[in-house]
Amino acid sequence: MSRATVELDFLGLGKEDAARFGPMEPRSSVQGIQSAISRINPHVLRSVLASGGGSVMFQPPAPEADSRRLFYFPPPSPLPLLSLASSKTITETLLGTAPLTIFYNGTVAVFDVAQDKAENIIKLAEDVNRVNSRDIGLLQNLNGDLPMARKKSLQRFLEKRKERLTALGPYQAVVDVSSRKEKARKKKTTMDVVTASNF
Amino acid sequence: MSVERRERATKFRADVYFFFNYYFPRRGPAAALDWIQRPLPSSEKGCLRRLLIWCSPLVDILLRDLVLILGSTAGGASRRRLGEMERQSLNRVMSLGISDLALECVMGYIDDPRDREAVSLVCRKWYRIDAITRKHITIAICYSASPDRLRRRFPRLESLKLKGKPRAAMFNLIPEDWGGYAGPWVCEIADAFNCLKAVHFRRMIVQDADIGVLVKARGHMLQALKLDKCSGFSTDGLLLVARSCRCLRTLFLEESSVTENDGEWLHELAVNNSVLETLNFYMTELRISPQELELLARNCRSLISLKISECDVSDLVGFFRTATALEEFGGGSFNDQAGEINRYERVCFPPRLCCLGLSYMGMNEMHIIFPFAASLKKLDLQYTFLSTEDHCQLIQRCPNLEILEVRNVIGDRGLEVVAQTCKKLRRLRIERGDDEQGPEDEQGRVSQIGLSSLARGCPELEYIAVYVSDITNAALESVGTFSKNLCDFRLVLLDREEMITELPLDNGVHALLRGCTKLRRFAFYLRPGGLSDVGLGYIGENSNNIRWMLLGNVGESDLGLLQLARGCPSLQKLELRSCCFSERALALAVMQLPSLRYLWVQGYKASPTGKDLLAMARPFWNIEFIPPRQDIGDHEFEDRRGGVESQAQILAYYSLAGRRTDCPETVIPLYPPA
Repeated sequence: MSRATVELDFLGLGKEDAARFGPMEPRSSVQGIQSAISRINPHVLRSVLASGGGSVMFQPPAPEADSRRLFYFPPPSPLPLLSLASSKTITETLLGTAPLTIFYNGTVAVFDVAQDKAENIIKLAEDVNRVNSRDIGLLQNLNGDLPMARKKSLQRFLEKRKERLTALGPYQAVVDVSSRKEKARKKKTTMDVVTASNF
Repeated sequence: MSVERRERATKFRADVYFFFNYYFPRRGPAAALDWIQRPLPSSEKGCLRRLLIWCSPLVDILLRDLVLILGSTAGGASRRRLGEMERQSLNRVMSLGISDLALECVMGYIDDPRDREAVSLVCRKWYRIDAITRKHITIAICYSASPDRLRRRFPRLESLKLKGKPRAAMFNLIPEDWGGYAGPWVCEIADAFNCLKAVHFRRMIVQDADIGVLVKARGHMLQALKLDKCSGFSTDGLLLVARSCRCLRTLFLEESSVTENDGEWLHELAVNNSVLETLNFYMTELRISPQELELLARNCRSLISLKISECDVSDLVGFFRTATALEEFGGGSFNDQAGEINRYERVCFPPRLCCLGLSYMGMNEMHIIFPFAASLKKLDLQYTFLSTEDHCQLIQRCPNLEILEVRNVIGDRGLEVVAQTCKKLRRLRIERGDDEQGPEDEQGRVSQIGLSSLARGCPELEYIAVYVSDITNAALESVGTFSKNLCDFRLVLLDREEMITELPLDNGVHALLRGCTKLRRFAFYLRPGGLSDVGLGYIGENSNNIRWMLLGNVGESDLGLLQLARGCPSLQKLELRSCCFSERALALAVMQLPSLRYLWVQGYKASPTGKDLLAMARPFWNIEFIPPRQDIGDHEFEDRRGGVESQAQILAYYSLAGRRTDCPETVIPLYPPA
């Protein structure tokens, strides 16, 4: 098998990505997926094709495919995870991960994922298909929308409450009030942007 | 500056001329006087009428002149036949024929800043008289004007309020050194403002030296000093205030970061002052001793309001006994782990107390409020350790409550009790509690059920701020139907629940805005999918009176923002967070909104250079940019939190002072150019 035949562009992924998904999406929601695709291990792909495993079929585009869906998921029938079974022997020794091949709308994507991650992806696919078409929030939330910021005064109160609750342990001596205040003041100066909240 | 302002001023001028050239001559003096003296309906904001009512004793003279000049014949044509003397009189009439002194007296009765604005635009003389009679000015962002300009226009100011950092600073989203320095303003106050009696700095950086300059120049006259959510000063500054400001009636330091050097300031205040009415150092870490508070109560017999930092309530028995005029108390703390069972039984609150907020109060101490719960008008439970059941128990004893502040631990059940009991409720704030449900927080969720009950049960509500865990369109429709007095509505949808009963909220918000016509402030913070572009369009169409808006996670695309911008005729201040709009759309929206004078955005589609923002460059419009914090260390694609662009911030505001010169490194002024 010549190396030249198994290029990423052989599957037309690069061009199709740009054409189909570039101008359309208003959010950066598929950046993660796209970057993963660009990191498809050609070695793995080659081995998949070589072993003859995985039906490298090009399915016709599903008629009900929502063009705004930017994810590679097959129509709601059992996933043909043929590649998993066949390529296991080749790649499972590598990292405990196995290739996950996804056929969608005439394109193919292969990812190297661990068993549990693969299960998560399958579950996600099932969930997504059940979800209201408007509820794209589920997936977009994964993509680093700003965390909700909390008001400073309440943040301080909740920290102090936590302190009090931990200080009330049965074997702890009565906590010195001034030292507690010292701690509270120190805590206040750290700007915890991650739990900072906005309203 | 804005179209709306000019229109108002033109209308006012037109009203004045119409009245004196047309209405009055046609109808005659008797009818005119009658019109002036008719009682002003509450809805009418007619500045002209108000002005004329106040100068009605002088209008007699005025009207007699008019009769002479314009007579009973038709108005305008006869003017051309007037001789010199008549023309002089006519000029006098055109400025209402009132002497400057009289006009000064009259204008003194007009307080509303928007009326004042209209008055100042009528003609130069009125502008001058407004300038010297204006008593109070609020500058919403201190960089929009220079201290020097303020002094030139309003030299006789008696009260000044300045705001520095953007509102987001209350949520830890603005760097501490962003700016808002009180220094330059204090210098100008010390130099020139000889009538200033009240100073209020909010979210600004005030240093001890600034306080020193202020009290040295104005301490003998200062009646109110408010350092509200400020930072940069210490108890040394407070000591200066305590020693120099003997007429101080109000000292307000709520939520400021004060460096503790010693506790003498309170003692000095108690010893040097005898007229103090309001003292507030709530939510600060200042250390005080109860004896000093008792001394203060003894010396300041008019003390009505005290809100303090942490101090055990059982130590305040002496204070409460002495401060017999006290109506409001907040702060303190409860520590019942020391083993003393009835530690708080001795606490006896002053007889007129009707506003209360006790920090760290738990279920075991709650009953000390019961004896006077029925006379409570304001209750703050945000910093207590009460459960949902406790809230129900307490609130059902408070039928006269007008202002209630709680965390969402109150739950739908608590809100049901509120709806049934607190029929006079005007303001309700439900803050976000702990996300991890502790043992007392089991039912601590507020949803559409609570909100609907509330709307139905409390028709007097003017202000609702609520963090909900779930929501439906019907709940918002209920608010629109029943809360007709609502001026301020803020809803945040928490992100803990995966599934929300009903999204998007397009129809709900439509009904809400159409029903609550008096709404002036509006916040709507959701999640992706919470409001579509159509929903944003509804907001735009139905927010005629809204002046401030905070929108979070709304809309689907730039189109939504542009639809919003087509409406919102009164929108002055817009805050956007975590939305999907591009810089270009933001710039376009800014150019379209007719009254916009302030914009804050965090979480948007930032372009690499920020150049699209310059599409909104225009005279007097400052654009500042806080660039995204560069993440050190590359992340794999599973870094879901905060891609680099999500931390960027845009701040834009009208300014007569030009580009800021005191920006820290983190803030980059984009326009005007240097």
